[in-house]
Amino acid sequence: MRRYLRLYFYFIKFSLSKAMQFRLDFFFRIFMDIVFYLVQFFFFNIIYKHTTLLAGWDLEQMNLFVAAFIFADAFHMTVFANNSWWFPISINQGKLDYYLTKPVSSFFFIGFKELAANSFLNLIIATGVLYYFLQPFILDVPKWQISSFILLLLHGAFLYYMIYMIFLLPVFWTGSDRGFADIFYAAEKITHRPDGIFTGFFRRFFLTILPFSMIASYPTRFLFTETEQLSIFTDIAIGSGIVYIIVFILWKLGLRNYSSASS
Amino acid sequence: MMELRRRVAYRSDFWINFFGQTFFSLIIAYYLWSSIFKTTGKTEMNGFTMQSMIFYYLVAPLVFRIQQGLGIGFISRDIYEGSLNKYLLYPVEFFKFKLSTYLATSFFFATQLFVILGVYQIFFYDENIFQFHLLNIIFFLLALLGSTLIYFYLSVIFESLAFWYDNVWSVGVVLRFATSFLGGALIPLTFFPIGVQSLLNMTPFPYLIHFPVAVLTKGLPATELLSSFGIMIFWICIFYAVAKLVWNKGSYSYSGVGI
Repeated sequence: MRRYLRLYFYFIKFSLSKAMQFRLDFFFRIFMDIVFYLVQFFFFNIIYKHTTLLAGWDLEQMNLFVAAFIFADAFHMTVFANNSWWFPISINQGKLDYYLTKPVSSFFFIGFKELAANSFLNLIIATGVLYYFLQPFILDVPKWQISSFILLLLHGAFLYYMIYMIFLLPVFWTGSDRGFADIFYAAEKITHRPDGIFTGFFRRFFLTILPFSMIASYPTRFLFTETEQLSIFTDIAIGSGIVYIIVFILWKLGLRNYSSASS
Repeated sequence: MMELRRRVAYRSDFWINFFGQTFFSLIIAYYLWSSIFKTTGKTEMNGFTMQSMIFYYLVAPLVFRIQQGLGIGFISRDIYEGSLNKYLLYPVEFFKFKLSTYLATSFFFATQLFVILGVYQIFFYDENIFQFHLLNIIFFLLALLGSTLIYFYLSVIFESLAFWYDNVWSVGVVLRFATSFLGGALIPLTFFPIGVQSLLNMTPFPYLIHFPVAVLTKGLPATELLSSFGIMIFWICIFYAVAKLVWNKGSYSYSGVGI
């Protein structure tokens, strides 16, 4: 464990110096995420000009939900996004060899080697936004429920990364440099919508097979409910467990199939 | 032809991505707007019924995809990696070469849109939502060409910043976010407050997504068509001039990595 922490410390150091090489891009990435956050808030605020409730939530609750997925997104962008971006390219160009020969878990190396320093600043902003929109609820909700909500969002960021990997791992077989990233980017917008709008088969689908609703919507629901906490925890555990097993199996099978394009 | 061949090099990826994107866009739009229509108890909102809303979300993302052409980095990558050098040896101007490959890619995505329209016409035909009128299709194609040219020259301006700042990927993403929201891909512009709509009409954004979709679905009156195409040409000329200016200035700063 200590070896991995030390290794991660070096990853952070290297990422910081790399980020400062492109100063305009560094600051523009911060601006880019701020624009993304604003668009999400404007989107729901425009919708609430035409309705008072959406999926059973009023505008105040919806703003907290938006702040929640922004927080999970910022955490994902900081820790995982750059790594998952490079993953299919590494397979396509045969660069995975480099990680396979290291005396540490290659899955850890691929997932954590680069930290986005600029997104870390956005994570601070997103934390502030989340804190701001939590204010109306902070007095009515027990502290343990708020702490669990934050932990569930952090877990949501990791879950987001793992779902993304399900769409990227097929590159072991297709050989392309993007995998099914385009489908993922279309599907991941489910994260930006409250789970309450979905019904029937697709509701179950987005809570189990592709549990995008577990990333921010379910944690937000967890915060608002007084009686369903246990069932929400159980659903998140089952939904995430399915994803982790699928990723594990695809990774193992993929490595067996890996032919190393450049060697 | 080269660009088209490159696009279909990974055929399974291409078609799975295409159908996957369309499928998820529709599912999200369907459930979101079903919930809104159900909560409000209305059958029509800001000129949209539930059916016409679904059709809007079927077409708008594809129109948005068409004008994206080669995507982010189609010039900045050449500048940063030094592969711009090779274009100096080509017997064709760089701008023209890039524009033709950009339009070829857009054309390819346009064929996807027409496949979808064909499927819609065969299986879900509803004359109140969409009718295959030749004149509408011609105006729609012209609107698509206009919006693609606006986006191309706008992108060239931002991509050319790579002459000074190397990596400008995030600038392209900001442009994409802005276009998606202010152009009407995320939510139809008729849902925006009236004041905001009037402000937006002074920008090129409504002409990127909202206008082509309106031409296809509503068949706008001749006066509106004429004025909108006039405004489109105005924006194309403005962005073309600025793009040329920035490009010419930037090319003096080009260090030609790898020469």
